[in-house]
Amino acid sequence: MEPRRPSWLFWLFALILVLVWISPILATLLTSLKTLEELNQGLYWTFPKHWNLDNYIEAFVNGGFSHYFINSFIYTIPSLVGIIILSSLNGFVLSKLRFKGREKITLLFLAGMLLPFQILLIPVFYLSSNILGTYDSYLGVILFHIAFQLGFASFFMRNFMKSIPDSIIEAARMDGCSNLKIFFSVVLPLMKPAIAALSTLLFTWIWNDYLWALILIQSDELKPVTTALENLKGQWVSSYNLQSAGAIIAAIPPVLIFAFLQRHFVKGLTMGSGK
Amino acid sequence: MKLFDDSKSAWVFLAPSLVLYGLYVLFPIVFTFYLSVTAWDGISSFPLPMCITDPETSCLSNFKELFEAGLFWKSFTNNLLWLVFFGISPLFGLFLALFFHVKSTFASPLKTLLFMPMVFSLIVVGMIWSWFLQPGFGLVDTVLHFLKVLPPDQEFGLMTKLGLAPNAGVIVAAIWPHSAYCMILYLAGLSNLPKNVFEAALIDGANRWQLLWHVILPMLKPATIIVVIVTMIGALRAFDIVAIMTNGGPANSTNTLALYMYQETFINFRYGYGASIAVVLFMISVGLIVAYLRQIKKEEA
Repeated sequence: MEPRRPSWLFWLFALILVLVWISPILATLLTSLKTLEELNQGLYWTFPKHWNLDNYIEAFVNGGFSHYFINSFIYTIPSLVGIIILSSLNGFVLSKLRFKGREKITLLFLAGMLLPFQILLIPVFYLSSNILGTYDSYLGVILFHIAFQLGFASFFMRNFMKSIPDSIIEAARMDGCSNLKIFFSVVLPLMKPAIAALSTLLFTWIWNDYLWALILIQSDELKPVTTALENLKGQWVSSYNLQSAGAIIAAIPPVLIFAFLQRHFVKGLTMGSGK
Repeated sequence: MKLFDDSKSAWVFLAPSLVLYGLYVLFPIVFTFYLSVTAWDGISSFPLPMCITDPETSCLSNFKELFEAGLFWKSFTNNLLWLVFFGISPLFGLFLALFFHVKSTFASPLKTLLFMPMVFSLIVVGMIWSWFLQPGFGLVDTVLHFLKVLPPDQEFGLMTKLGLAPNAGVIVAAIWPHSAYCMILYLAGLSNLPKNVFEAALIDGANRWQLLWHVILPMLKPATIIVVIVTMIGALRAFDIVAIMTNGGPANSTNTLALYMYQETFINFRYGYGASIAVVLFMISVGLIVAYLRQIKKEEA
């Protein structure tokens, strides 16, 4: 449907709406720049008297956020790479190769993404601590993320690859390329937009994970920002300025990724749903 | 170079994924079902079904206990509340998408700001809204004081005063990012609609409401089905945001099945009982998952 041309009335309402919408974020930003004394005077929702980054420094240095922050990257990046590699392979197989059980496997992958996590909780914990020995390690969480996100990611890649004309692949096959070679030299280069879109989604989801880090990680040194934030909420009970700084720090990477790759993100969702 | 047989290379390519998926997704489902008939405490050696270790007990006694537990029904009711009120997000999302479906480069930074809550961790969302709704000094109270609706020495506290509170506070916080998500899905749906639909209907003399009701909404039906199912699943999954905002309290008034399951398992070390809660949650979700798969298949046909 053709988008309409906005009137001045649209801009007025749009601006008010957006301001109200992001007011919780603005309030958190302002709080994170205040001193505790200022907060204790009850000046919660005003501009800070003295702009300072002390809370951020405090969170990074004494709150250990420099560490948790790096941990979150250690969980997110390898998971992301693993999922992208496996799901592009799966997408290729599920969209371009003919074999028995193709539909069933596609559905199997797709069904997993809507599972209530609780059905997996105890066995994954048991598997990690009693069988694989990956409890309380980076690897344990990374493996789980790869396995769990594979379903959605493979379905996503398959949908995108369906739009690649079969003739391109047939031509490569006529030239005598193996399936593996076709995948790497023909299909993968065409997948760049899909990979970009999927990466933004996955980065956000894995970075923001709380439950699995809570279940699979015990040591403080291994905690990602989400579970660390929950801990620090207890430690900094009424220091809302410090809590806000922590919350902002935890939100920065996904916000940056989103800000720069928004086009991919939105395009990705269009490709992801159905056709 | 020798060409791989299609079927053979398909399975070779799929193998690593299937192993991981089987280990971390398929096996756990079966294992949780098994654990739900045991009285495992998570520490003792591999558990056997209750009716085998103790012939006096029924193998379904976890479920019997569950359905008699007040806390189960309380959590279940809260999930139903979630289902109803969290269900407002698709409406918000649709409204926002229709409103922002405009042709102007200046609209995209505004859209970016609207999408923003969606990329926050629910832990961050929960923390932000906890302060926002805090009685006394939260922004809601501050605005009411400023507008002189509320005397300066009184507290309103949305979290504690509304009839549905404190669930209301938690659900409101959850609606915020989820509406943004629904909005994106609807915006994608709108841009997929054929370009001439609008003009054709207007030429036929339809007004804007008729256009929305009789043309746009029916054409958005596939998007709506997906959005609604994802929303319902979200309501059933409610965990992170409850854990950070209220941890189920005060006095379990905001507990949900997902959180209840976590507490029974990892706090009270009743793994078998926890598994039975997970099984119930799973059974409720199965219908939704099947509906979702059907819709996707229909769209592909």
